[in-house]
Amino acid sequence: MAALMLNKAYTDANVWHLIREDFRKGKPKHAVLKAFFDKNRYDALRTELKRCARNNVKIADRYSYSIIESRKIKELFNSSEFLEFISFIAEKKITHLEIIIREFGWKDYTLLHDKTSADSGLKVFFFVPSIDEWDYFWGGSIVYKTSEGKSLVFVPSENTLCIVDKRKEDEEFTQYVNHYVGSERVIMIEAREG
Amino acid sequence: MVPHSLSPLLVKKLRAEFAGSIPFRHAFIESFLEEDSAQRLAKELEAELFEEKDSDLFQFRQTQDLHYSKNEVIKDFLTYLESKEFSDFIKGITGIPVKQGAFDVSGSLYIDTDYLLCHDDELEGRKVAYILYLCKDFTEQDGGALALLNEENEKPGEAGKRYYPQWNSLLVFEVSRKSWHEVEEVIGNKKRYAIGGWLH
Repeated sequence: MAALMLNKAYTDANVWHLIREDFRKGKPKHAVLKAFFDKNRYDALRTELKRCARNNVKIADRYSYSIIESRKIKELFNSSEFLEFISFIAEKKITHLEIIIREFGWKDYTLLHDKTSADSGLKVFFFVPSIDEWDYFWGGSIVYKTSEGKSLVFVPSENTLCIVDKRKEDEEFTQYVNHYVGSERVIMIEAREG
Repeated sequence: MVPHSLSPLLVKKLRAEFAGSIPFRHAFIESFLEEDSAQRLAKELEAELFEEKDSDLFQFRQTQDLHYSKNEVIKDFLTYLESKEFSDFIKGITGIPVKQGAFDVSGSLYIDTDYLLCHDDELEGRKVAYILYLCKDFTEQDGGALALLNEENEKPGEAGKRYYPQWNSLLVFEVSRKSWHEVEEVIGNKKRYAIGGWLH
């Protein structure tokens, strides 16, 4: 995978400023960017993910999902253009992102866990669902329970990038995926400040 | 509220079942209440107010603490749970010294897509968990099984045993560090009503 190839809307400096303003307002700070990559890049990314092997992992009281390994995806989300973009939005210098690629289908989930819940720092999620219209009622959303007693919900949506500056007190989990999902699945590329 | 015959012979049989059960100590008792009592209790439970519960771990509906119920049939059932007869029955099966009248109790309802993921129930004071199913029999196609999980390397593993809800059956298990269990997702239109809680 070569250049970052963002959707043209996200290459405008004014748009970067608008996104940053929006990001600042959230508690926790966050932004959701639809149609993030241009079509060719997104299609290439999907093709790469399809090609990769899956490894099911489950510890019933913590999580259930499949892990995907892809050097190309890790490189893409650590490209200088992507790091520059993220650093601008988050207003902090990000030099490296730890990448984990998870795939969720029926019966998959993550639970709150003391160790991961106490994490803080910048997190980026990129969704690649197997279907254009992922239904919220299937589950699989990433939920933040905030210290303000609210829920911040990121519903899987194709080619969508979510940026969150997680505070220590924010609790994060991925909702259980129920049987209405059928054979559909969603890949979540998670990048965190490393 | 009349339980079905709790003869010494039945208690002896259940004690053996409890002691030898895997993945952790439990017993399953069919036709727990007299049929008429079970029918009346189920009808009144369905009339209780159920509040939706939702977290990372679960999605289901629950009544208030049934100690606060004003319903006479439910109060009658709680009187039975408070009785020496019931605590002696539990002690007889489990050998665990539960205290008469010390218990939590609430009603639960699982409908399509509801679930309760893996946990161990362990909390100070809880000795024995109990659940009385007051719903139509469930099959594999309906989901809703109570899955008792094996322990593998001190972590919860695969289901060692599954109990699909069965009308008027009572399931009891010892609460411990390794009593890992879950309620599998309900699939379809059947409603999984039950009364359950913990004995202290």
